[in-house]
Amino acid sequence: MTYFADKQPLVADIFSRYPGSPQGRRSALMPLLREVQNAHGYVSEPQMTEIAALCGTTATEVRSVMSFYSTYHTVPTGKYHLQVCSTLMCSLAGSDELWDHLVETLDVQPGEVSPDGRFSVQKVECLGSCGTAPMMQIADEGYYENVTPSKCARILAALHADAPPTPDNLVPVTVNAEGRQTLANGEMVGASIGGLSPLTGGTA
Amino acid sequence: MTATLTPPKPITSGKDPRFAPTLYAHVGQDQSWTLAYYRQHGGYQAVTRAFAIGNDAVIDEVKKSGLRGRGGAGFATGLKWSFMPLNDGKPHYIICNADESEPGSFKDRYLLSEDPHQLIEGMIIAAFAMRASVGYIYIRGEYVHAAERIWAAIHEARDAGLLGQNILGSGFDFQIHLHRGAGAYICGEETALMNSLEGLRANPRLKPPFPAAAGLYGLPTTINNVETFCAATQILKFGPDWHAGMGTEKSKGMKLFQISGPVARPGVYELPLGTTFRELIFDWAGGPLEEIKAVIPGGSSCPMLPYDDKTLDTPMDYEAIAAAGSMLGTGGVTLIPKADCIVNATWNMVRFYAHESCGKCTPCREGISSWMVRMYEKQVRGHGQPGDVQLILDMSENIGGRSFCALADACLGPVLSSIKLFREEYDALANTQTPLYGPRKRWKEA
Amino acid sequence: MKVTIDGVQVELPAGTSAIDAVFHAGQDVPFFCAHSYLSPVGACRMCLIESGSPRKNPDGSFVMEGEGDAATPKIFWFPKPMASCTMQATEGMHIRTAATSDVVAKAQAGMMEFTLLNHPLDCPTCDKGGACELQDRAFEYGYGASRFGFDRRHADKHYPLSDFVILDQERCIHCKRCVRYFEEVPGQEVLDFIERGGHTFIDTEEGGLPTGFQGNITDICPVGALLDNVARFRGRNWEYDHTPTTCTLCPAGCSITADARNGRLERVVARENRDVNEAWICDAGRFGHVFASEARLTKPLIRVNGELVETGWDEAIAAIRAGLGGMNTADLALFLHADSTLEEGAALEALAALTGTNSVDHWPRYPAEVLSNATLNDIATADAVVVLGADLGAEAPIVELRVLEMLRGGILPPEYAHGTAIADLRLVERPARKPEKLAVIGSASRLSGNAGTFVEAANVDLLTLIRPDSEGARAALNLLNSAKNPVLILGADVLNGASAGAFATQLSDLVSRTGAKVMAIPAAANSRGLAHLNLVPRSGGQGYAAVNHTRAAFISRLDPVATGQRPSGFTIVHDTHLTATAQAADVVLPAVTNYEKRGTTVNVEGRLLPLQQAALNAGEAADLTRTLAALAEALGLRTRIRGLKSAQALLQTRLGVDVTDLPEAGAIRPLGPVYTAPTGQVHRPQLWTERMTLKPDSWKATWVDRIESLVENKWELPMAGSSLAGGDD
Ligand SMILES: Cc1cc2nc3c(=O)[nH]c(=O)nc-3n(C[C@H](O)[C@H](O)[C@H](O)COP(=O)(O)O)c2cc1C
Ligand code: SF4
Ligand code: SF4
Ligand code: SF4
Ligand code: FES
Ligand code: FES
Repeated sequence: MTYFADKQPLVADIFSRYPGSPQGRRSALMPLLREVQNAHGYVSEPQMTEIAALCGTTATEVRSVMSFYSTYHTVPTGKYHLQVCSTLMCSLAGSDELWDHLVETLDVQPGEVSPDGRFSVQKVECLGSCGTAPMMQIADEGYYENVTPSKCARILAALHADAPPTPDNLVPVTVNAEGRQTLANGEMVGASIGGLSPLTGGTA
Repeated sequence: MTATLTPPKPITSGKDPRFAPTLYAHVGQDQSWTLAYYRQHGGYQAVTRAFAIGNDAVIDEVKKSGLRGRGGAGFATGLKWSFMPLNDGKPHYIICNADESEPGSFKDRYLLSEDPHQLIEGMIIAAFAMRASVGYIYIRGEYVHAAERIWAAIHEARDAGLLGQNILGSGFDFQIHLHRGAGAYICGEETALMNSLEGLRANPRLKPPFPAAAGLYGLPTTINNVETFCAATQILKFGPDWHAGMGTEKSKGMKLFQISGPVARPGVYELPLGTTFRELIFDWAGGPLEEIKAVIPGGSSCPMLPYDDKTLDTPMDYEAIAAAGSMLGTGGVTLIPKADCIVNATWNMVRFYAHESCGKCTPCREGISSWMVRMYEKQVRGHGQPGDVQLILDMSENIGGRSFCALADACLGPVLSSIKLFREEYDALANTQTPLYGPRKRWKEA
Repeated sequence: MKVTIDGVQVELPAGTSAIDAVFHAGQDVPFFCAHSYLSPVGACRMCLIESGSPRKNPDGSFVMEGEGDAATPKIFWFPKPMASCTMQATEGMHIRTAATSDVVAKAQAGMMEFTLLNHPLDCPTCDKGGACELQDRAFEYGYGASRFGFDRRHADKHYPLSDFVILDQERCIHCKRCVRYFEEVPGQEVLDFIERGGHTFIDTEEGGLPTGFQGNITDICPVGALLDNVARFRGRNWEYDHTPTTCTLCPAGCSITADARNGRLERVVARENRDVNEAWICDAGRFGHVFASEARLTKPLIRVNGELVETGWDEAIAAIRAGLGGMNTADLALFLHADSTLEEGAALEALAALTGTNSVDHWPRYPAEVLSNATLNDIATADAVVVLGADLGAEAPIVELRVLEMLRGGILPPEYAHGTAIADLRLVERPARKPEKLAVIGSASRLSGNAGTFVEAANVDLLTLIRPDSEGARAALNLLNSAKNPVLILGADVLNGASAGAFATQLSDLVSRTGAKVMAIPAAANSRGLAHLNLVPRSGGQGYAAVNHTRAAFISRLDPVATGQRPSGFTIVHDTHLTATAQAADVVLPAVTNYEKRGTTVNVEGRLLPLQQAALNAGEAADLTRTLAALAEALGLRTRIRGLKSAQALLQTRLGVDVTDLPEAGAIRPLGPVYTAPTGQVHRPQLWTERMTLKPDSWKATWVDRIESLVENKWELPMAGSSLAGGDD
C-alpha cells in the first residue's frame, strides 16, 4: 500500500493550506516529504513517485527539491539521528571535539547507521542555539543544548537505553516575571511593560 | 493649541529607567505561549485598535514609528507595507520569515516558541493593513519545538475567532498557515523562501518583479521577519511615538540583541537601538570570559570589527555600525577569542556559506563553494603558500557584487574583514604554514 | 529610446534588454545562460556590463553635468557591474562593455576563471569542440591560465539520460538552459538539478528522458555536457560538412543543418527559423537520420535469372526498355512519395504528359487538399486552438510545440540587428499555462494531456464540432466562437474522410461562423506542394491504392509490398534502400534521400522551403528528376526536364513561382489550384519508421559499451588535417 493511501484526512488537511491551483498543489511537496521522513527516517523512491503524483509533478522534481535541503534523507537513518551543529559559535564552544567524540564512540560515519540501528550522525549548520552552545539535535525530537562532555555522556547512555532525555529549551533570557531585565551584576534596571500605557481604540 | 514641549531625550540604553522590554517581556514565563496567558497580559488589544483606526492609519503608524525590518536589511517597514497595491482585486499574501539561519542569530526562536500570539497578532495587523487574506509562517525545519508551539497557537487563535472569517467582528478575514522548511539557509532570502513555499528548489528569483507586485504564486506579497511583526504589535499597542522615542535618529525602537561566544551570560537582550556594544557585552552579558580580538556585530555575514574601545563605544544602530564598516544585521553579536586562529574561525564561516550556496550562480557556486573554501582549508591544514592571501583578495573582488543574490557577498563579510584586521595571522599561515594561534581544547565542562 | 553603448548611441524599442542593446550596437558580451527562446535567469554572470542612467530633478528636468551648451545629463553609474541579460535598457542609459571598461574586463575574466574551475577542459575528445560557446569565450575573455590549483570535481562522464542523450556531468556549467527548456518549451518536468551549491548536477528520475523533443537540449547546451548519442564521437565540428536544409520527415518543414563527414550523415541539428521551428526540432528529425547512411543502394539492380544483381545505369535503362517490351507507355503507372520536391513532382507531371498515362499518383495524401491559411506563428499567438482528429506528435511535432507555446502566452522574441533577441525579458521561468485555451477532440495524445478540454472520440469529422453532441465538443466550439484569433487544426482522422463536396462546405461554414484560421496537417512533407501539380489519377487511371492492378509501374520511394500490395506487372523501383518492394522489383534504381537533394518543399503553412544537398556517399544514386530523364530515355521519349534547372524553369511556368530565389527561411507563395482525387485507402501517419530506428538496440547493447572502451583506451578522434580517405575537406 502506498504511504498516504490510508491518510486521506491528513493529505486533505495539507492541501487545504495552499491555493487550489496547480501551483498551490505543488506547495504540498515539502509537507508531504516531511510526513514520510518523520515516519520512516528517510524517503524512498516509490514514495517520491507517490508524492509527485499527489503534487502534480514528477519524481525528478521531487528528488530535485528533496536533495536541495539538508534534512531530507534518501537513505535510512538511525533511530536517533544526531545532528551536531558545526558552525562558529558552537565550534568556539568545542563542537568539533564533540563531533569527533560521537563518531568515535558510536563508531558510525555520516551516511551510515550504527550496527545496532540506533545511531546516525550528521554535521549541520547553526541551529539558532548559539547562546547555549555547543548543541545537537536528535532528528525531529528536539535540541540538546550546552552539551558538555558529561552531559553528552548522559545523553548517550540514555539513548543506549532507548530512553531519550527530554529535549532542552533553555531560554537564555533575563527578563523577570515583572517584565524587567537584570544586569549581569544582578541589578534590576529599566521599566516594565506593566508600566506602559496601551492606547485604546481609535486614538491614533 | 498646545504648547511646544521639548521632546524627551531618546532612550538609547537598556538601563534607562524609561526603557521596558516588550518583545521579550513574557519570554521565559510559564505558559507564556498560551492564549489565556497572552490575553491576561493585554494580548489582542493592538489588533482591536488596528481594526478601529483602519488599514491606512495602521500603515501610517508603522511609518511614523520608524520601524525598520529586523531580518537584516533594515528596510523601512511602513514604506514596504505601502508598496502593496490597493484594490487590485487580487488576493494578497503576507509571509513571516521565521527561517532564522544566520549564524549567531537566535532571537526569533524564542519569540516563536515562547510568545507565538504576539507574532500572530502582528501578522493580523499587517494583513489588515495590506489587505492580505492569507499569511504563511515559514519556519526553519529544525525549529521543531517552536513549530509545535506556533501550530498550537494558530489553532487556539482559530478556535477563538482570532483567525478566520470576520475576525473580532471587524469584517476582516484572515488565515495563517505554518510551512516548515527543511534545512537551507538560502530560504531566508525572501524570493528563495517563496520558491521553497511553492514546493520548488529554493533558488532566489529575479527582481524585478518585486514581491509586492508579483510574489508568492505571482501575487502581491510582503515578507517580514518575526521580530518585525512582533514590533508592529507593540507599536499598535503603545503607539508610534512611544516606539520612535527609543533609539537614534534613523534607527528607532528596540531590538533583540543576541550575544554568543565566551561571555558570562550569553543570550538575548532587548535593548533600545543605539545601545553601545560595551553596555551589551559588559553590563548585560557580564563581560568576556577570556581575551577577545574581534566582534561580529550582527550575524556571521556582517564584517567583524576589532575588539577595541572605538568598537565598544559604537552605538548599535544601523548607521553607526555601517560607519564603522559593518552592519547591524540581525543583531547577533559574537565575540571571537584572541587565542583562536582567525583563519580557522573564518574557514568555519566560509564553509557555512559554501555549504549553503544554492548553486544557481557561478561566482558563488564555483568561487565560494568550490574554491574559496578550499583556499581556507589549505591554509588551516598547513599547506599555505605565499601569495595565497593576495589570491583570496583577488577572488573576492571577482565575487563581490557579481553574484545573483546577497549570499555570496555575505560570505565576503568575514573573509575581507578578517584579512583586513588580522593579516598577520593569514601571512603566518601562508608563509610559514604555522598558525599564530594553534588549536586548543575547547570542549569542556561549563 | 536612446541608449549609448561604449559611446555609440542607438535607437531601441522599449523593453529591450541591455544585452540586446549591446549586440544591436555591434558590441559584444559573453553569455552562457541567456537563450533567445528561454526565460532569462541571470545564472552564469558572464554578461556583466557597467551601466548608468540619467536622473531627474524634482521638477522633471535632468540633473546636468558640464557648463552651458556643453551640458549633458549626468550619468549615475551603478556601483557594481550588472548582468545585462536580466536588465532592461532604459531611456538615456549608458552601457560599458569590456571594450571600454577595465572593471568589466576584469569581472568577465574572473567569472570565466570560476566557470572553468571545475570544467575538465577535455576539448580534444569533446564532441562540442570547435562549436563550444565556452571554448570560444574562454579564448576571448579569459585570463588564459587558471589559478585554481585543486583537483577538479569528478563525476560521471558518460551518463545516459536516454538512448539519445548522453550527459557528461563534469562538463556542465549549470547554465540551466536544459532544465528551463523542458519546463518552458515542451512543458515537461523531466530534468532538473539535484543537490545544491558546488555539488549540483543534472539528472532525471524518469528512467530516461521522454522521446519527443529531448534532443534540443544537445543544441542549446553551451558546452559538451549534453551530447547527441547518435552522433557521439562521429566527428569534430570542423570536419563536418554543414548543409543548411529542411527536414522532410513531416510537413512542418523545420530548418535543420545536416552534418556529414566522410560521405555519411552523422548528425542533424536544429537551425533557427523564426517562422517555422524557432530553435527546435523533434527527436525524429534529429535522431531519425541513420537510414541515410546505412545499407544504401548505390547502384542500379536488374533481375538476372531471378536474382537482382548490381549493374550500371545504361544496363538498367536497357533492362527497362526490354522489360516493357513494346508496351504502350501509357500503361506504365507513375507513383512517387509525397515528400518528393516540387521539382521532382513537376518532372513526373511532365513525363506523364509525354507517356499519356492516366495512372499517376503521389502518396501519402488525403482525398481533399485543405489549404491551411494559419501560419505556425498564428498558432503560437492564437488565443484559442482546437485540435480535431490529429495526433500532432505523430503528424507534425513542431506544430504541437507551437501549440504549447500558445498555452504559455505566445511570446515571440523581437528581432534586432544581430538577429533574434538574446534575452526577451517578457519570458519568465515556470510560465503560467492556460490550458483553457486549448481543446482537443480525437484520440488521447501527448497534447491532449495539456488541453483544458479533451473529448476522447474514435471517429471524428467536422460535424463533431459543427453539431456538437457532447459537453466537451460544445465547449470546443464555444472556444472557437468566443476567441478573437482562433485556429482550428485538422489531422488525419478528419482529413482521411475529407471526400470532396460536403467537407468543403462544412469547413467554410465553420470558418465563416467562428472566424477561425485553419491548419490542416498534410499527409506527408510535401503533399501540400505536390497537390498543386497534376499528380493524381486521371479518369480511367489507377491510383496508388491500386498499384497491384497496374500492368507496369514506376514507384519512387514507396514500399507497397510492406503494406501488403504487390505490384503484379513489370516494376521499376526508385529507392534509397532495398525495400520489400525493391526486392520484388524487376529493375531497381538507386535514389538519393532528401538530405542529398536540392529542390523545394512546401510545408503545412504553404511555405516554400529550400532543400540543399549534403555531401553523402550515395554512389550512383540519383534524384527523381534525373531518374525520370533516364526512364524517358528507356521509353524512347524526349523530355525537356533533365535536371534541377529545367525542373525549376518548368515550375516557374507551371506554378508561377521562382524557387531559385527563396529566402533561407522560406516564403509563403500562392501556388494556384489543387488537384484532388479519391485515395482509395486511409493514411495513418507514423513519424518514426523502422528504418529511422535501425540501431537503438545496438546502441543500448554495444554503442554505450563502445564509447566506454574508446574512452578507457584514451582514444582520440583524428584531428583536422589528418589524411583520412574520403574526408570532405
Ligand atoms: C542569504 C540571505 C538570508 C536571509 N536570511 C534571513 C532570515 O533567516 N530571516 C529573516 O528574517 N531574513 C533573512 N534575510 C532577509 C530577507 O531576505 C528579508 O529581507 C527579510 O525577511 C525582510 O524582512 P524585514 O523587512 O522584516 O527585515 C536573508 C537575506 C539573505 C540575502
Ligand atoms: S549568490 Fe548565487 S549561488 Fe549563491 S545563494 Fe545566491 S543565487 Fe545561489
Ligand atoms: S547540462 Fe548543459 S545546458 Fe544543462 S545546465 Fe549543464 S551546461 Fe547548461
Ligand atoms: S517536426 Fe517534422 S519537420 Fe520538424 S524536425 Fe520533426 S519531423 Fe522534421
Ligand atoms: S552556531 Fe551552533 S547553534 Fe548557532
Ligand atoms: S547571467 Fe548568464 S547570460 Fe547573463
